[in-house]
Amino acid sequence: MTSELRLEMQKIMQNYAAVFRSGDSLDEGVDLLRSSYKSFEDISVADRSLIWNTDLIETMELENLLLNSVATIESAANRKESRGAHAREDYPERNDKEWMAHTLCWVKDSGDVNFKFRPVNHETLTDEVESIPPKARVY
Amino acid sequence: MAEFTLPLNSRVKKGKHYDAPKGSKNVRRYLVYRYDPDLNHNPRIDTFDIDMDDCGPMVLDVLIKIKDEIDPSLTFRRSCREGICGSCAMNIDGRNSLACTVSAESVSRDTKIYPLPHMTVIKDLVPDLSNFYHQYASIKPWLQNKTDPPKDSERLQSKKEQEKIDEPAACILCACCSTSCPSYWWNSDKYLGPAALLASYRWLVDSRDDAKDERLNELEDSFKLYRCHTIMNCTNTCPKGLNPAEAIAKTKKMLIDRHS
Repeated sequence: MTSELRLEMQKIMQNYAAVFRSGDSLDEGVDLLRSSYKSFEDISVADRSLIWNTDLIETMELENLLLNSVATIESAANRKESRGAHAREDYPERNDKEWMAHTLCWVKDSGDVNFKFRPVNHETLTDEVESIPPKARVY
Repeated sequence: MAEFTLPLNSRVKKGKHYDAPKGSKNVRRYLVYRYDPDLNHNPRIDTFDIDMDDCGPMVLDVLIKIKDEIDPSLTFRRSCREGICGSCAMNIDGRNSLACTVSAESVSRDTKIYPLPHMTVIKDLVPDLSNFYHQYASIKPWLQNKTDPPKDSERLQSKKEQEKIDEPAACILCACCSTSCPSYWWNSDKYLGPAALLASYRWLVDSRDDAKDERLNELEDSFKLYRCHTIMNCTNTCPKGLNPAEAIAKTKKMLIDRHS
């Protein structure tokens, strides 16, 4: 049922991809979410109507949420550093040398993912102001 | 002799009954209006017994619980779950309100949940609000101004001027007021109804708006405004605590002042 699978996904994301993360828990979350993603194949929609079918809409929303959750947790497990809201206890430091890059993530029908990376653009669009080189944020 | 019968599908039949789980101690009963447009059947009332110890506090929580755990085909609008979007307007325990702001404990133990009264029902608790939105659009709910704004500044208002539009601008267009109005029930094709008239008033008293005369001209016929008979159901039911009846009365006064 849509609501059951949605709650399962919500709990996995809350428990394994929250603010404070670590490699072990992220990997555990990836495994759990993969099986949730798989079970979407067997989803059932109770409302068969073509008029104002909120059951169908919620199921389509769930499909989108699952894809986004898979991309989120896989990318988080793959990024071995801490940066902004991605705080890993096993890699507490920001690593500009290896990870100053945007993750691009493709989720296949099977639930497996492909990564590519795009460099971060440090230049401003106009020459009105000098571009500011990145540095670690301190509080 | 002529026989008068109600249209067949206006009779509401008894529907299914869903028991609460065994051992539930705090059970409330919900009688929910169901209408499936695909079946050529009459509307029905389904009865859901809900264990309130295992449910959120608001009537909307009950509906979501029913949809998630008992019958996923139950259809209703909802979005913000905090009384600011106006989506979950429905008739709860005989009173139009937002399901998300009505506490389940504040209404009777056998709670009847119906769609907004006297509207065409699309499905279950979802009424067709097209006419309601057309009426809102018809009052031209935007600033109409004949002069350019001051250079390098917005059109400024004093605090007093702003306070005049504070309340009418807080309307969320949930349609609770208009659908509680008997006059709107009979004449919704010509009478604008309290929600649209409150919105109209919001622009009539806006110090920055220049179209007051045109706006009043638009309202001056025997239906659009004057079908309000100060029944006050609108003000009584408004889930945001606004006063459309007062705004309508003040609009009528503006029209009278204009003639004298």
